[in-house]
Amino acid sequence: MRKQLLISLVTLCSLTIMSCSDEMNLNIPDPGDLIVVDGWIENGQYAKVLLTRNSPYFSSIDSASMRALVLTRAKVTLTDGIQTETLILRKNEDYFPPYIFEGNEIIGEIGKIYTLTADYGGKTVTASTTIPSSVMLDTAYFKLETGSDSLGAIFLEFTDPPEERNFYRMLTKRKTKDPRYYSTMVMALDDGLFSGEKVGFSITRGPESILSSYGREYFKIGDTVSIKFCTIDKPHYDFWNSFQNEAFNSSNPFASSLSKINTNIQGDGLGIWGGYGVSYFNLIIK
Amino acid sequence: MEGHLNSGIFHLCACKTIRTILFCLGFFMLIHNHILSQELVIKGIVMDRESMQPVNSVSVYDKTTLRGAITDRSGIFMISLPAGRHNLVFSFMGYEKVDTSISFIENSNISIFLNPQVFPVEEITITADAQKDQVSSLQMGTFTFSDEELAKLPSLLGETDVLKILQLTPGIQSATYGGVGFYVRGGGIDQNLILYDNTVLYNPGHLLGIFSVFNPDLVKDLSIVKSGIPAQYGGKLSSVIVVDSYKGNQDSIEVKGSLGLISSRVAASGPLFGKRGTFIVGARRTYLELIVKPIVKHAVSSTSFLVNDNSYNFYDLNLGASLQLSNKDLISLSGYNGRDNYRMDQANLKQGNYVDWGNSMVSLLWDHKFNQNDNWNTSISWTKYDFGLSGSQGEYSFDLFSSVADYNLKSELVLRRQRNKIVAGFELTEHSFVPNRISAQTGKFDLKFGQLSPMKALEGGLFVNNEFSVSERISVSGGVRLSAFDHHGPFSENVRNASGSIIDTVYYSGKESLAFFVNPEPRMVIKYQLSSKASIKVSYMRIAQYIHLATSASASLPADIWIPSSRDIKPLLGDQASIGYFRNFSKTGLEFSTELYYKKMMNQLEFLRGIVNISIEGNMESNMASGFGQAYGMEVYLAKKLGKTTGWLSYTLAKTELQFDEINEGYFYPAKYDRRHDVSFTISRTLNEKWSASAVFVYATGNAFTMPVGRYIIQGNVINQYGDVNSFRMPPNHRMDISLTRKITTGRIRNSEFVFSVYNLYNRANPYYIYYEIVGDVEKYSLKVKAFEVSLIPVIPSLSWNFKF
Repeated sequence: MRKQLLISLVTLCSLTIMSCSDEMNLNIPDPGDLIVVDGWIENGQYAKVLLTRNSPYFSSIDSASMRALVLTRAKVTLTDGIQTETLILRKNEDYFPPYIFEGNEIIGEIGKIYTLTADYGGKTVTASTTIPSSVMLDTAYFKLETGSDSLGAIFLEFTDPPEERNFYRMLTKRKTKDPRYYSTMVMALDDGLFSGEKVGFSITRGPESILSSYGREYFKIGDTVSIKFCTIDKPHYDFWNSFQNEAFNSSNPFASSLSKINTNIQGDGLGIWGGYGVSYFNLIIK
Repeated sequence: MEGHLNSGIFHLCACKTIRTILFCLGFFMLIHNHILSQELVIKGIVMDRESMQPVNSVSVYDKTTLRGAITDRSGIFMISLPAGRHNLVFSFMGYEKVDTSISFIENSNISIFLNPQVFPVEEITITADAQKDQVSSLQMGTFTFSDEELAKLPSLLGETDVLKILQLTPGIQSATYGGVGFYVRGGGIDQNLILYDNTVLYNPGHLLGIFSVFNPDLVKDLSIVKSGIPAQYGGKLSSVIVVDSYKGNQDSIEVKGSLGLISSRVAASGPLFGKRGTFIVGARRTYLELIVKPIVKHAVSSTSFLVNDNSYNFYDLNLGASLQLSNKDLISLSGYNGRDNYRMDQANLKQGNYVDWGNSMVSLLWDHKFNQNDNWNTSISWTKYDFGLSGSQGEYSFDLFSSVADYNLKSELVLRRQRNKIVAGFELTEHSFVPNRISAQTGKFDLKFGQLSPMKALEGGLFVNNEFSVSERISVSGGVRLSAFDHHGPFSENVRNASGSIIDTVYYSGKESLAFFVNPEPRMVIKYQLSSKASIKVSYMRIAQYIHLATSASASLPADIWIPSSRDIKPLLGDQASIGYFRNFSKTGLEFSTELYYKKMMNQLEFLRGIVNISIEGNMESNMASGFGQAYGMEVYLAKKLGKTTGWLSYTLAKTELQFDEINEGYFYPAKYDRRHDVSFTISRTLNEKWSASAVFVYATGNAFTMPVGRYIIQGNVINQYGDVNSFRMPPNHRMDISLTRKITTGRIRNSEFVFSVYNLYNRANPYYIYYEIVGDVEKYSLKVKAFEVSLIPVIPSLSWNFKF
């Protein structure tokens, strides 16, 4: 709906009078040197953390500059309040950038609090997250888009637990096609509108790369799709929700200028350290 | 932090200065009351000899003492003069000047009849006497335009838009370049009370504000008050804009209109019930889509998601009538309906979108004159604004609806006594809001959210205002408005538990109050007449505003929604103090004024995540922040109102800043529309009997905006790291418009003219918004971010033919 409203307004605006756009040069101040945490822990899995630094807004990205952003010499420790471990850096081409700190002792458990600390160049950042109880999908099914004979969206149905405030994320991975799980178009969901109810909605795939413009990415007959249905805590939701808003609004003349991306990282840092209460659902599209 | 401190000092200084001035003026008052005792009060009414209707804004000027006055909306004026013979001059555009010598030995009442000019070639020229206005009137921060003055100004897309003309005066800034939404002295676009024939119009714009809803052929008078707003007006913090419509003439049928490239309009007026009444009907329609559509198709073909099939149009319908029931009773009726319709279909995505919005109003005004001094005005009116958006894509569809509708009753008594003009009355408005009602269907699920049941509220105002001359030099207009607002039932409210589940629904009956507010609002203007040609005025006003516009954009959009004050949303409160110096130079016909103002705005609302999210999340309060705003500045105005070349220059130096605990870490930040410099220059010249020309130049500091300063990567997404809120500036905005008018006085239609105008003459690309694009190849890890500015409205020449017969 948001997209359609945006499209309507932007088009209306363009219709108003022919518009023209020109590239402009802007001088912007230095963004400061911050540690960016991109980390998560889910029930039954070891923690995974990508550690990078921020870069000036207009700097160009290439493989060399990308590598320079990775903080391979950082010290990353994880504690669940009882056990403490130091995460180990591994190369993994499935991720971007392809270096990832991984745990091999502490396995995520529902209801526990996990605190992450990263030290680099005299700076320390910390963050805590929880893994909420997972929620199972009641069902998932595929439906062809009207007029198409092979493409369509997946419909999910589940029952929101009535006694608690819930926040969700959904990711999908197509067998043999995707190296890892990608977020759906809707990055985060709040049960404010359907608390305690049985709900259903459709999902489409999110953009795979930062270059993909938004357009609906459909699933196709023949795909085997693994749906990762996650519950997350409020700070974790706030991050994704603010990013989602901003990604949607950043080039929108009608948006608020108060864009700010939330973070749960304390110290000279940015990003998100998030716990996931995960349940999986496999769907073979015939 | 520094900004906060400085402005605090400014505030302190402003308060001290005003206190000192008030003290000094109080001292003067005491002295002059003793000196002046042989003064007489002369009251009078000025009428149109043909229509026998009162004429407002007539300048009354005594050549002997150089004192002056202006007639009010009932044609009545009051002037205090020493006993003896006086030479009074009455003048107003479109009427023959009356120069008369009268002896006064006691307080007197007089009636003056003005003859309309038959073919007013010089109608445009305001006589020198009319310049007494700004110096002698008891209002400040005020500008008034008549239809003749408006007609001379350059047009955009073939029309002279009244709301755009206001933006050429100091202290008023356009919200979007070329649009009709505007900010007055740092107040939001929702803080302007726009009254069309005594009735509020909630969204005065068509087509994202490019056109206003006012058909230029029907506008009779236009005025704006920015400071010391009299107590009879309330409900909006920053300004009152009064647009009065033309109700026709009693003599003959008259048809006026315009044929233009983009829109056309026509209005017919004439006598009714013999010659006791008049009527007018008017219509305006745009056919913009026929012209713009092919261009847009071409222009946006590179942007894949935009456009497949569009249609857009708007129309306005106006109706007006007046009836002289007796020589003491005049009834007038006014109606308006206008709508914008926009459809966009994308066949390839199976998408259909439909957006429409519009205003409707009806008002009935009864003016009863008890005698020459006293009259009583009562009006009842209804107004509605609504906005609808519906869309569908395959299986998925949604509807969004928002509206506000008011019933209003206003009654005021105007009493003119020795040295006093008292206005007292009341106003009652019953509001009904549907802020956002949304339904969405996807597959077999049907969701309904937003604020589903309408929110009802009763707003009331009780007011009294007295204008009185304390002495020869000092006059005071002081008053108070007691305003109240009651958010009442019927209303149903869901009660949710901590987890957000609905556990109960509470119903309020029609009599129950959910929230109640009351505010006394003092208003005052004090004028100290330095000489017949110069005066100093100070003013203070407090105004409470109970309804808010939830806006997330810089443009005045149809999708902005109106919401009432409630338990969670406090009323907006504004205090403003201003001081001004007014000077006329009668020899050269120049008018000069300058004003300083300081304005405080409490309980300002900001929507943290944009209007669309308000609708989606359903929970408005969690998306709202309440904060403080302050604005201060200096306005300078220099006008030449005599001779063949007329025009004015206005300059505003201003600062507007906001403070919200939730935004910018609680530090003050510039408002989006904080404009340090705002200059406009307007010039018109009558070249000869056939040709006239005019030009407008505007320059303004660019809008403030928030920019990303850095970026980082999370799960393959590039995320922006933002700098301080509104710490960047768009490039400055400037443009020039010109128009050339050729009068046609021969042929079958004797009164017609061709208007050729060019908007944005030198094709300045004024930035409307900025967007960023990541370009490159992700596979090769080679990406770059580029910023682009989008500008609307390039050079637009237009030609229109205006006629009258």
